[in-house]
Amino acid sequence: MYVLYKTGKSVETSMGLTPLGGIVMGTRSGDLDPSVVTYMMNKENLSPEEAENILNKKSGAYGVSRVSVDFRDIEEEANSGGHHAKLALKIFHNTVSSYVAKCIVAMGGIDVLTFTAGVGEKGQDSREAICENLKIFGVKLDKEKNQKIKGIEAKVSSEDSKVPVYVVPTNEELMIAKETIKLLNK
Amino acid sequence: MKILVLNCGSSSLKYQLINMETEEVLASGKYERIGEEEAFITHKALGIKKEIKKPAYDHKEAIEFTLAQFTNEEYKVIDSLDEINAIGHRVVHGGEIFKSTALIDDKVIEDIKKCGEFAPLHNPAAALGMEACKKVMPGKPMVAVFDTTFHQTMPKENYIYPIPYEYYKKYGIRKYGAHGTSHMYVSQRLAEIEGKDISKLKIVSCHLGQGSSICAIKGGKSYDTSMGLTPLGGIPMVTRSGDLDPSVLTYIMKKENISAGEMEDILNKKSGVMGISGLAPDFRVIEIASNEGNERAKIAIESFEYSIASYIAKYASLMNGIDYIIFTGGIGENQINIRKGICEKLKFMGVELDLDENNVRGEEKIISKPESKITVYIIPTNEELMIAKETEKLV
Repeated sequence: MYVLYKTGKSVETSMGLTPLGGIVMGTRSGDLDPSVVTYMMNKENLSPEEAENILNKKSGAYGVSRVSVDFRDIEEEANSGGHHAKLALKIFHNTVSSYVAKCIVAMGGIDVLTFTAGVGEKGQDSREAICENLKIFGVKLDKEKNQKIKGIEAKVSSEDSKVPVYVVPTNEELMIAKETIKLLNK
Repeated sequence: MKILVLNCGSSSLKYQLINMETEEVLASGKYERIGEEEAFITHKALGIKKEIKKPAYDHKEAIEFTLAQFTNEEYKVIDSLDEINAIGHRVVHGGEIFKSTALIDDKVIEDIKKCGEFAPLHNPAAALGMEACKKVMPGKPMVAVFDTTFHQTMPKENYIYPIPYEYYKKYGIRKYGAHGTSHMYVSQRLAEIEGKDISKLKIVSCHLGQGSSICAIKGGKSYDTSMGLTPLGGIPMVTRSGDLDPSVLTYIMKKENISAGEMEDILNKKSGVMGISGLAPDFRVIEIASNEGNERAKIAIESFEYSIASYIAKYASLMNGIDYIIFTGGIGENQINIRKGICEKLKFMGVELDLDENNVRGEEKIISKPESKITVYIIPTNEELMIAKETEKLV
């Protein structure tokens, strides 16, 4: 959901061997105590493939909320009082902010925080909850402005935030095209 | 009041007899190889250390012989067993059944066995110890103190795993944490030293030893902790992996064609800093190798320190700040450079370690500079005393 750089180079990222690792996702678990996996396998008599499948497709915010694989549905359910949906979102927000904290440790500080992709660009409430958890590191959102920003490039932190916060819609295709041109022009 | 604290393993028995008025340890020791002909006890009392070979075929025999040491004329600490007011048993796992310390009766022993699912080596042994005590000292009040109960105060979002919710309902798969008695002791001890009301403090306690766990303590209560369903979770440890991308497990299992049980064994016994470094499962050996330039040992130590610093930062974010960081446990109390490495990574949060003050082993003291935004302590843990105090409270 976010990428952090030091001198333009990736020094840490949440996803692991495969895109199953890291933070809680829509249907993926992210990192776990490994004994959760082995315990689950023993109890349900699952093969590694079956466990992988459950952790990839039936876990994450969906597994906890049992609402939908779409974050927007989970948010809606949470707003109308769904306990499981609320719990799922809270877990999601906490793990995202925890990973941000971890990345700050990895870099010994942070200059800018950016949000991108589906939830990052359009999940105003999620951005607010995540930034609330990061208050201690000097992150202060302009809540009013943040609410208005949906899928457009904008600064959403308040003027006195020590860490500027941006929404930057991702554009992987453009990046691929730029990289392609770079190599062709060599 | 005198309290006997027992920590029963499957083939061992650790004990301390504590005088609660003075908090003095009157006698302590360990019975090893219970169940074998070669069983022996190492007993310490009155400055005398004795190693006695004495076959004990079960926990009952081991406890009987242990009790006899307390009244042994040569190093007698009590005149009769009547002087022991109560027994406190350490229990590793209390599941969701035990939310607090429990006065032991038959139902409690049964429930402890039930919770053994998550601690298959430890809980049945503790139950054996309780049953043995009942036979040897009938009617003596006994209390069970669990490693997990301290963490029962965690809010739900901190203990539910992002896996299908029915696994929590059906099997009780959730975060339970461990080292609760240690985290409770050091945090309470800190409040006592500082003369502050613990209900107003935000503390991160780092219990670093063969097993390591970090705990966020808000108002004297566990708010979050690094160990998970079992003590395999959280940070990388001496031989344990800590949390992983789950596909690491499934990938290795497929490649090596191993079962879930075998995988668990590898992640418990051959991973962590030992796995990365390829060296002996001894933290000191790995640290020395790292200082001598061994590349893999360096990565192992770096990963250990980074992971701990990350957990501290995580808990600072979840509690919106920290007042104190505590180091305890074998590594936390004694490894000067590890504490330094961790604190250096937290400089951005205003943690300022005093390198001279930090240059100690196993002392209870402040090791941060006065201007440090977060005060850093070493507080040697004392789980036995905590168990004894909890026992005293209940009887």
